[in-house]
Amino acid sequence: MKAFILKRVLALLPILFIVSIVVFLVIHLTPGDPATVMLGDTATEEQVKALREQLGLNNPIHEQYVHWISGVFQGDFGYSYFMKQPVMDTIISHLGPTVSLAILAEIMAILIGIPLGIIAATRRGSATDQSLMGVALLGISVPSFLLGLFLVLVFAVQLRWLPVGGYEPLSEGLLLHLKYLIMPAIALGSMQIALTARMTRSSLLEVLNTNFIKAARSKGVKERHVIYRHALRNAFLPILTVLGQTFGVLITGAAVVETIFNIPGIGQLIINSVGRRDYSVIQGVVLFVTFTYVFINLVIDLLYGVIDPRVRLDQK
Amino acid sequence: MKIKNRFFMFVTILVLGAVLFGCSDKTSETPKGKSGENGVVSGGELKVAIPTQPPTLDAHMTTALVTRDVSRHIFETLVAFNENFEPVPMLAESIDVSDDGKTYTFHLRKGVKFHNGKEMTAEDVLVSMNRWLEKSGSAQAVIKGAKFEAGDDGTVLLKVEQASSLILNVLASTSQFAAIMPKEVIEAAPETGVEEYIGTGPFKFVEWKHDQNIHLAKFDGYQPVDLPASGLAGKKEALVDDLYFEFVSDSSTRLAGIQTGQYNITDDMSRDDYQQMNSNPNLKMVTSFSGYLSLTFNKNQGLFTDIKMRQAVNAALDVDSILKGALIDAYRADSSYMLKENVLWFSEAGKEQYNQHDTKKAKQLLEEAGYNGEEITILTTKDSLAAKNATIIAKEQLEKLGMKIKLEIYDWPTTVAQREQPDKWQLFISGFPPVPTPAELLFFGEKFYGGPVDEKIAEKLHAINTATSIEEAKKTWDELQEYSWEYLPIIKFGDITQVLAVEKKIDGFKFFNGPVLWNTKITK
Amino acid sequence: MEALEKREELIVIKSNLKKQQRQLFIRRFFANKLAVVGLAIIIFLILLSILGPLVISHDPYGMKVDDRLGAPSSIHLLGTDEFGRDLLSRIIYGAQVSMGVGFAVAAIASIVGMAVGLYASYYRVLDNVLMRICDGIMAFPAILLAIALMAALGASTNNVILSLSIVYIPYIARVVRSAALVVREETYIEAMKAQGASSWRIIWLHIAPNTLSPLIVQATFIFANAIIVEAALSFLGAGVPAPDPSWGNILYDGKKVIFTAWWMVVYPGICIVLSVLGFNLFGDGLRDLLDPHTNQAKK
Repeated sequence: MKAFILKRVLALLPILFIVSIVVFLVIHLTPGDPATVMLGDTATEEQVKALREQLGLNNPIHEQYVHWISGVFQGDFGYSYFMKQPVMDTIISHLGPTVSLAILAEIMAILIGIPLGIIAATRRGSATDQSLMGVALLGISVPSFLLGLFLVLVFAVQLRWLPVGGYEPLSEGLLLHLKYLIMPAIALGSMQIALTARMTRSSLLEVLNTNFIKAARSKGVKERHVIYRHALRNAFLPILTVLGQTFGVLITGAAVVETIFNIPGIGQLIINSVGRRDYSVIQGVVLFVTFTYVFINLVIDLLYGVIDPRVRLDQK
Repeated sequence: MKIKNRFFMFVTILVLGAVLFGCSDKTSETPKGKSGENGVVSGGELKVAIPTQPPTLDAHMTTALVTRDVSRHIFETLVAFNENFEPVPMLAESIDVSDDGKTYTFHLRKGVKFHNGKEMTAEDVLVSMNRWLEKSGSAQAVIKGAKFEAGDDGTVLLKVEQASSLILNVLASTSQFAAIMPKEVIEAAPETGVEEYIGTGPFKFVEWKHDQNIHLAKFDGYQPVDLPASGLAGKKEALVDDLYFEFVSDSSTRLAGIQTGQYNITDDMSRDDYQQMNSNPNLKMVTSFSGYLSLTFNKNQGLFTDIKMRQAVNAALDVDSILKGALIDAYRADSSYMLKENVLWFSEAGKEQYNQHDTKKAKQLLEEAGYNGEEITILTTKDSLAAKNATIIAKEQLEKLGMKIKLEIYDWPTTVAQREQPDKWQLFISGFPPVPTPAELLFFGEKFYGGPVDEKIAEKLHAINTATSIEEAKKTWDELQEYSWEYLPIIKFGDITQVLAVEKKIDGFKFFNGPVLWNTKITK
Repeated sequence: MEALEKREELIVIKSNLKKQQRQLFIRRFFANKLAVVGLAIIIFLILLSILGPLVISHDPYGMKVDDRLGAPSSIHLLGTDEFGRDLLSRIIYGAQVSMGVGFAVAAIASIVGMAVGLYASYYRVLDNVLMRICDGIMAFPAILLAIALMAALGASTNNVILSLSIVYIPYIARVVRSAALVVREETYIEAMKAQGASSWRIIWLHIAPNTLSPLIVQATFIFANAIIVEAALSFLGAGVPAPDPSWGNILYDGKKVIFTAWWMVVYPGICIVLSVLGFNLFGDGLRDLLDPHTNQAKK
């Protein structure tokens, strides 16, 4: 187990290294730089050039990379030109909204997606099954930004039940927190709900087809027991995979939803930072996001072993 | 199992209902604070939605207008414009000018406190003003070589190389303004600007939640000037306890936000939403002119070094439909380089060259210039919707004339990077902010990205800067603008109307080259 | 020599078998109603984007500023946009752009991804390098990577295609690689190697065909995803640049006038949902047929 974790963590390093180089190159080869943004629309070229020099942006690019990466190895991810604070602090301050959003969307996926999947699987072929799966397919096909726009129009503008956007942290109270997050979470989570429902259905059906379930049924075990005790437990692995993968997508891919609802999360941070050319923040966030994604996948793999002892981790 | 399912559903509905119910009560809450006479609520919080986050709040650093809009509530200047665009003392008590016009003596107001409790001294002013002189593009253009020095009895002296009637106007610049900050703060500042926002203004800086909002609060130790409020000058008073600038990039989100009471004031509203806003009995519109939309020629190299080519474009354009397409009806078709509101400098000289829409003349000019279907690149930024839309329409019009047009539309930083390379573009469409004096007009500057102007313009500009009387300067300015409309460093399309939506319960709100939020209160 | 002849016989038998298989395959596909609906939607949209321009009478770029934001009417069936351009024409041309981007991305990602996957499966050393790069790209969310790439490359339709192709190559490469790894261990491949067949032949003529079915399924989903991500990119203002229409950038312009001109949001929105739905239905159907594993479970 320990050896497995160690191996996986070591395998992470080259990924992070490659990502760091690619992102550094992409972002530094992008025309425009923080000096132009800092000095405003009507600054003269002279002023821009002077600030560029002061910020060290004229140094050769490999020197800048080495400077940055050696800082990273010492735990220093750089300093934001615009936030006037270390990049790590910036990431942490933007992490809250995104994590809240992802957790809420994930909770919805579990509380809505799994039951719907079970209902569909147990009534396979029925009208309920077909309409549920139809809705699920629609859920996968409606992009989050469309659903988000629709929700804003209905619940914020027409009914005025919910605010159009913005964010209040949990410390301001759970209800207020949820009030701001419920629409974005639905917009973000609809696809996850649909995917979870589909995966629950199909993996449950697969297990229900296996011999041991047939045996259990023929022995006269109650259908409820068959499904909840035996089948669901065995169907859980693929469901977990989907949940885990989507959690990675949620935490990192909330960019569009955060933009629509004006939520100051990681996604908006990176979009805004690209707009400002806040190099160190972009690089820091990318590394962080990559690390998180790979880390979550590692945790899922470990959970496999807990749920299904037959899975041997060191095989891969 | 069925019964259980129903029960579960019932509980779910209850919970959802509770959440939604809980949600709907906050909006009807009255602002915090004590009720005064006439139903006026003193205090409370004022939320202003603005489209972008400022790059910094250090007013010396940046020409960004959003910095101007926020920072003016924190920082103050030695002199400030009143509503007639006349510079009057603000942090200075009085100003003496020497007979040769080369030395200005600023007597400072006594007992002015910074937000950190420290009293403002001549030394703070000296350090602030010299830093500003070095960084300000306007100062560099008009009073190059000027210096602030310490005078007797806590006065501050400004020494300039050349007398000019415009010196105080420049010191009162509204964007990239000459904020007075404590000396220690400036000395500790890294190259990206000060890290502590401490000024003398009616509001003090509290917190900047990045990508979310900036929180200012009433500064209790503020010392107002004993003069009626006018423009940015006179008596200032923070009438709300807390002032929030919320960053909301999307204009429809801003609109929805003010309709639902989430914001009290929203800046930069789309004219398309005018009806929506007008039909809402709780809202009023505040409009003002925030600069002008224009086309800049690349005179450094390429086709438009030829004045005939520039004149051809100017003759061809149907400016009305460009303005209409870009700004709907939020514009004023006007040819003056200085806005009409700037009574002193407004001029109609050269008007006959504006908005000709004369295809025949344009074609003839093109022929004279020997244009032969070369590809012309129009550069603009998608970060300005008006500029982007104007570009798309201008392309249509110029193509009809037989020009071959290519569009390059980028985000702002890339646009600037492209603009720095003269071989990458021929035409550039953008907005210019209003400036108080002609000397500050960017396109007459030596280092202007469109290339330098000819000697005649430079000479006249110098004559204006060094004129001893305003009348004389004004006369030269008329001649200059007349000539410039033939020479065409740029083509001005028209003035941009900035529309703000303001709740009717907000009283005393003014717009003067940006929102003025002191002397603004929330009534019931 | 003898071995070769035998193989040729085998190939003849195989191809007969394939014909039968194909017929069976088609029959089974058409038995799946949802998949047929999906295919119908796709064909409809393709026809719309190809034949539509021949039918419409309005120029998608023709401006009439006075008619801006006109509601749907008999002249402009779907209304006009903020420049007074006919929305129907723009949506039809937008179909060309959006579907074109989807197709190009799916095609480029498939070809490059297939090559990457195949060579990675064949050469162990390459495998490590290529797969680590793929991991790196996949670990980074598609939209954010595309935004960064678009900022670097500049806004143009070709760059949208390039950015999205880079994003999706690893997804194809992964699938192809795992399918190829299975084939690679088969005895006939080992035999060919022993006979000294060139690796090029082995990879492209013998391994590659066996990876096609998972690749096609994956490519279908990438097609759908590329349409969504292009729309999302354009929605964030970083996609297909003006004045070219795409469903995403019509939506982006529509978002700003959502309170006055619902048609600018609703119609392109419907198109996006419809096309994505079509590809998802079609892709689901294909997967049921081509991937026996899930097939068994679902049917």
